[in-house]
Amino acid sequence: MEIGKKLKEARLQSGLTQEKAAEKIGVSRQTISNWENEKSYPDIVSVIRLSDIYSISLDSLLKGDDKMMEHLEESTDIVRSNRKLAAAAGANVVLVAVMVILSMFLPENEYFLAAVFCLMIIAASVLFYQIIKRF
Amino acid sequence: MTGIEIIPAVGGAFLLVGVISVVYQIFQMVVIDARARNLKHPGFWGVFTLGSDNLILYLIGRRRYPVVRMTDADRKEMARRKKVIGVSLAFMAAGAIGIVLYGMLTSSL
Repeated sequence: MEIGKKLKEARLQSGLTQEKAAEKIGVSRQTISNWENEKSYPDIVSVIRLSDIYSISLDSLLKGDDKMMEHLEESTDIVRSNRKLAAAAGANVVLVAVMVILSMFLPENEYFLAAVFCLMIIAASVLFYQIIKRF
Repeated sequence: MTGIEIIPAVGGAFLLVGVISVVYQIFQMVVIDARARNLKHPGFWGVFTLGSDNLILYLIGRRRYPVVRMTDADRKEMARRKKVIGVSLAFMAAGAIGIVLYGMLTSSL
């Protein structure tokens, strides 16, 4: 059974309205409705709070719903997110180092300089976007 | 304006539009984030992060203040603004590259 249906059943069994449940965990009634209709998924903190107020185990809420597990994995996979950021920063440093070394051996060439600038602009933009994505 | 002179004009326009958009989106995202963390004067933090390294300082400093309340609408707004920043960065990169290529073309003529 998907998490939306489980949340709705658990709420009804605990005798709470959407407004009451929303008030208890500090979200809006619309958010509870969206979760129950699977228009969006709750974050892990909200899932824990819901399991508390509905007196239902986390196991029964989370297991069996692949989409929910995927959502939690993506939103809490800080290690993978840090790796992407580190890779972008590392690529920038390596690029600058390679360009500096190459410029020592290659004769002065406008095309080379232009290519260097273009690559550095793209690399800096990618790094900045990675930082923004982690906002 | 001859054909080749259009390049820096268009490049400059792309760069300017991109920069203004990125700055505005970051301001709005910081305000939403600061409000969600119950920080006083979210508008101040929005302006603060417009300084050169201040965005990094904000991202580091905010870890002491967990998110207290962020609505679904706020989350969707943040996701939308991140995408707009991505597009704006592409504009900036295209504009900057256009200006660099113009510089290269005119110096070789």
